[in-house]
Amino acid sequence: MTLEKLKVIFEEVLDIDPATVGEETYVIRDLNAESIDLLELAVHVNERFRIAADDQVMFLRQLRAHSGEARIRSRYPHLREGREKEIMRDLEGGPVLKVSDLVDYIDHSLAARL
Amino acid sequence: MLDGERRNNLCQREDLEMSLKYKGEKVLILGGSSDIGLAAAKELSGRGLKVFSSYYSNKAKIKAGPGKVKPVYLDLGDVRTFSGVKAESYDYLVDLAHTDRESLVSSAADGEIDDYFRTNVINRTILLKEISRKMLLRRSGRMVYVSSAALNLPSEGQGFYVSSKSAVEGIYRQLGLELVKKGITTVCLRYSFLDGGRGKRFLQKPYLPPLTPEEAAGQLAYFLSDGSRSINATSITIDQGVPSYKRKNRGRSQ
Repeated sequence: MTLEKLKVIFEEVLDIDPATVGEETYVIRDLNAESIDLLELAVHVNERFRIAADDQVMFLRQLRAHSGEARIRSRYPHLREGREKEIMRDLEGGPVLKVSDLVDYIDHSLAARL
Repeated sequence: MLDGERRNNLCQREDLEMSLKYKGEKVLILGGSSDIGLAAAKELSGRGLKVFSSYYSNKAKIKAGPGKVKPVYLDLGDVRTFSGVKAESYDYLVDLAHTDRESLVSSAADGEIDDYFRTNVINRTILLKEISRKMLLRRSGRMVYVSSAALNLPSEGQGFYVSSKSAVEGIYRQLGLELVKKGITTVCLRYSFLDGGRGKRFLQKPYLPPLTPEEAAGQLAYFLSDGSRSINATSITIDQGVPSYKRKNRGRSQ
C-alpha cells in the first residue's frame, strides 16, 4: 500500500514510469533524484501520509557522520532488520537510499502515530 | 494625427492599464494593515485574486479597507501565532512586514537586538519555509518581498533595519534560485521615496513626486503576475535613480 502510494509520488515528482520503481530501486543512483526533488518528495509524503517527516532521517542524510552499524540503527530506527549491514557494505558505491528505506520510514512514522 | 477627443480617450486610465494574468487565485499579504498593504489588497482583489492580509494590531483597518479581504492574525515575533497563516496554501505572497527600530548599532540593548533579528529574520524564514513547501505541492508560486533602497546606501541608525532586510533578501533570492525548477520564483523590490508607512519619514526632495501606496500596489500587481516570473532571484531598486542625490547631500539633513 505504502509502496504503491509512493510510486504515484515518484511519477509526479520525477516524471517517470511508476512500473520502473521497486523496493530495491536506488532513489539517487537509479532515479537521478536531485536535492530539490527530494524536497518535493518530502512535501508530498507529509501531505499524503499526514506525517511530519524529518527529511534528515527519511533520506538517510549525514549517514557518514553516523557510520557504524550500531550508530546507523540508533539514528535510523525505521530501517528493516539487517539493512544497516547492507548499508555499510554499500557505502562506497554512492548514495545508498533505496525506495524500501522510504517505505520503512513512512510505515514506522504511521505506526508511531497510532 | 490624433484628434483631441481620441487623444484624451487614450490617456484615460482604463486604456493604459496593463492586462496582467494570474494563474493562481490566493494571495497572502504580510503586513496587510500598512498603507501599501491596504492599497495592494484593493488592487489585487480588484484583479480577481482572493486576498488574505495578515495583521498584528490593526484588524479593524483591514476590515474597513477597500476590497474583499480576509484578515489573518500574525505576530511575526511569535511562531505560535503562525497557525492562522499556515492553515491556507497560497499561490502568491507579498511580504511587507517589518518591525521598526532606528538606533545606532552600539547603543541597542542586547535583548532588543535578539528580538529584532529573531522576529524579522529567523521567524520569517520559518514562515517562508512553510509557505514555500505548500507552493511546492502545486509546483507554482510567486513571492514579492518589499525591501528598501536603504540597502544601497544606508543612513546612520539604520544598521539593524538594513542588515535584517539584507538577510531576508538573501533568503528570498535563494528560494527563487532553489525552487525555480519547480515553478516557484521570487523578486525583491528596493523601494525609496514611497509616500506611505515608514517611508514617509525619508522623503527628501525626490526628482519625481513620491510614489503613492496605490502606485506601488500597481507595481506589486505586475511583479506578482505570471508575465513577470522570469524576473527571479534578484533585487530591483525603485528609487527614481536618486542615490546620487542622496550621496551628494549626505549628512546635510542629519
